[in-house]
Amino acid sequence: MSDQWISYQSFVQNQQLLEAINTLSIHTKLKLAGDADIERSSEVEKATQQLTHFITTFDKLVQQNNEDAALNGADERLRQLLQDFFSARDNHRKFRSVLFTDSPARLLTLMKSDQTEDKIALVECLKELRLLIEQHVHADTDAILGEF
Amino acid sequence: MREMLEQANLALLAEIDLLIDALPRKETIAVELASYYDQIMKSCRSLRRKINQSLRDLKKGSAEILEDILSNTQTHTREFHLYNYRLVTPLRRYRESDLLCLKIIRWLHQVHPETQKIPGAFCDGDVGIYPSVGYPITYFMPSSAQYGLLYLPLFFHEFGHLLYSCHKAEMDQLVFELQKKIDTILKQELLNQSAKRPKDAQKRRVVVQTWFTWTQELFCDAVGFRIGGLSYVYACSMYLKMWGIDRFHLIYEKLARSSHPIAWLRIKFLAHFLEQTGFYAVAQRLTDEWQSIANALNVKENYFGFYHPNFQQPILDTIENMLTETAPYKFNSHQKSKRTSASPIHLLNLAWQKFYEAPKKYPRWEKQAVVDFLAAFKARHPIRRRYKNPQNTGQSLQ
Repeated sequence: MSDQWISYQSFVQNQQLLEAINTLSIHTKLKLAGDADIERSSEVEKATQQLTHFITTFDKLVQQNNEDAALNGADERLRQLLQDFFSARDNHRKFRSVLFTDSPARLLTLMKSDQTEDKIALVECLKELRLLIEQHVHADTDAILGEF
Repeated sequence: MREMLEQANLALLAEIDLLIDALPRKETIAVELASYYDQIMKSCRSLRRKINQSLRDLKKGSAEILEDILSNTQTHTREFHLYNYRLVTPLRRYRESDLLCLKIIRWLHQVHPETQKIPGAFCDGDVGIYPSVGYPITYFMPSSAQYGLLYLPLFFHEFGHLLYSCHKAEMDQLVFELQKKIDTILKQELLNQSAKRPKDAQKRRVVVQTWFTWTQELFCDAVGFRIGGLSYVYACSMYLKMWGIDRFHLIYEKLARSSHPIAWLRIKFLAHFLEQTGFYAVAQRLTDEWQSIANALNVKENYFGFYHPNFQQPILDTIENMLTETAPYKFNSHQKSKRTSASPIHLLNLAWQKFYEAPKKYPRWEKQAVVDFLAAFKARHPIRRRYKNPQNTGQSLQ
């Protein structure tokens, strides 16, 4: 029997996560540039909820060490993402935002802040989180959609 | 970059329109596919809105957001491919002979409160499912199996994955509790061994991790048995037993990468479920049958630490708790089949009974049984075959 359900669920979750990251990133950048971007407000609210839920879960797993992740709520694909996160944290050239130098939970604080410097830091975090997820989604995309 | 992104988004909009034009009109498909059709159209409309938003974002002229629009365009392209390559297939392939499977899927979704409003359909492939809530649910069934009765109970296993998704937080918690118990048992086993090998801790972790998906698969077998009764056991056993030696034995490295427990172990758990419900003779026959194939293949039971007899009770307890949480439909073989009931379960069980009684005569019986089942269903719902008002089906997104 097929095990495609694992790749499919992971693919769908990551797609939703990427949309949420992009929505919040565009909104924050436009606001920093003086555009209130009101037309996107309901999407921004939804994206904030989605990211808050994901980061809360992810931060808990990061706080525990990688080895115990299997006993603390991580399925196979989430464990892989955790491993990718730990590798990225060691790559100081590519990943410099507080998401990697501090903790994923910092993203939650930045999302709530109205301070300009926090918004700039949020944009950096979202950019690097997106890179991490985009690298991760590749394997699921191949499994579900194949390669040309 | 801006021009390229604009072109890509406009091309995507055009492709969505082409895809919609390529779908059959709603009034020409079965009513069992109507809600699936509606959800596909809704998703296409939603995707269109998102692409139009990207085009509006491009017009804002900000260079800062180009990288975000690029990522959105790529995400929307993959989303479109998912619909284009996979999710529209049940609509594009629709023909009258799909009705048997569609009725069973619809019945399955309707008898469970949490899935009543979730549309389901199917297409060709190894038995499987795309079970993400919020998306149209697509099942997979091998081509030949779609037209007979014997393997259709395997849909019930796949439905188990959907039930798991509907109760994900609670179900994950139950699995994590089991993983902790397995970890404790493995630690105890290591303490009992005099010589500790350096890689033991790492191996223990691999075993515990593997049980995350294995537990879900055993739960889905339990759901299959709960819904389909003996028909599920027979279908599962027949489907798996002639694939070869890898259904009885896998090396450590393959077990570590496997998403399903080895088939022989699944059969042993099915035998437990049978015994729990009083089907002792069937359990014994099933166990003997698989043992005789293992003997012929000269295979000895060895799970390389991925299974230990001490796991059995915690696993059975966990599955029982998962069944309590999800409450799947329970087939009662003592209930008489009612002509007024749309339940296909009696028919699926009768099919296996007929097959075992006279396998050579079975295909003829099956053909007539399928015709009768579909006719009886049609008689119960005479006006449901076609939409009365095709004007309201609104295929265009414009």
